[in-house]
Amino acid sequence: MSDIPSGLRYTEEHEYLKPTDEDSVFLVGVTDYAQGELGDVVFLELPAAGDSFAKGDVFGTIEAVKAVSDLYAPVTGEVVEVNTALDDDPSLVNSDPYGEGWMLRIRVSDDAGMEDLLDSEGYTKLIGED
Amino acid sequence: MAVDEALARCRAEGVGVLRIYRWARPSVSFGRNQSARRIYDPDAFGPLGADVVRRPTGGREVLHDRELTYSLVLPLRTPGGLREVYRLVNAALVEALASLGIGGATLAVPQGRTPSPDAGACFRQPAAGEVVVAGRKVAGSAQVRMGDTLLQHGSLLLAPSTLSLAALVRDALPAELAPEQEGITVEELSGGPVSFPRVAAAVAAALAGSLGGRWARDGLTSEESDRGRELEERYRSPEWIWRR
Repeated sequence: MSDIPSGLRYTEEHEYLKPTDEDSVFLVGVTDYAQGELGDVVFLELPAAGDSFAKGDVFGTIEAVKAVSDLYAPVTGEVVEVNTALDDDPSLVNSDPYGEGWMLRIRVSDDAGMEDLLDSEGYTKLIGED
Repeated sequence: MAVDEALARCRAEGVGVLRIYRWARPSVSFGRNQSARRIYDPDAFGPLGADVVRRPTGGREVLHDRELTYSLVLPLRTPGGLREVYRLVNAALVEALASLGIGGATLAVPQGRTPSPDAGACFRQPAAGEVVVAGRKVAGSAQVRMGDTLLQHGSLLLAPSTLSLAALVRDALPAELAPEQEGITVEELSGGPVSFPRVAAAVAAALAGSLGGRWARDGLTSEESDRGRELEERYRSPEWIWRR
């Protein structure tokens, strides 16, 4: 069974949005289910701090076991920090997807669309592990 | 590559597509995220009559010459997901080889961590689950997820290439970066020349059986052709081919 923490929000494309101590600022990464599906992550292409995305935009790519997948912005906002530790060790996405394997710290600029995100229950149902 | 992506982008609900093709001239395809610029010389291809492209899928460089190439488009929510499709396709290739009288093909067992896209030519080192004979790779495959669609393509080596990857590299390339295609071919395994249509029929039959459902032979739709022409511009652009 995949780890699907409550308190996070999820997209149908398997990204998560995790609250931080700062209002409107969230961590973005891929879920435990997604990393398990993809297998060993070997490469990530991520945006730079300061880049902005609309909900649903492609913000980067992830490559694992020769499978490449686009990464989709779960919300509209601006990237305030990118996890540079992943440059040296992309396997952090596998070993700790919700912790050290976070990809972006993003400041939400438009709340519209937040309510479309799934909670842990909805995401569990989506991946058929309910 | 443009047609492969067009098939994925235009996929109708509940439909899968298998395309089998070969190459007009020897060509190298780079993996989507591979660093190619530091190894290969962009000016070396033309004089040798070779082409170069960059795939939408992951993995490392492949020298396409005397081979069978397949591309397979399926709904992402195919039972078992990406990894099960990968396993099913490779198992089907083993079956196709067996139907051509080539036994001994198996799926490679994982050997440590998956190689990065910069770890040398694709056929040099089998990744977990790929088709090998006596430890040498005969087929290599790679995948990309596009929205709710999975595109997987791969190569089955039919005969040794007339070209060497080493002829395409930059001058004064450090020895440890020198690429070499080291797979084994169907021709070597069967002990004589093989007919492309015969191998194609065996691969199509094995894949259709393995994936299930009903399959019918068809050509490109006008939507797929139009989309392929649009995408061709990007796939032909040096900015895409030499992006890394």
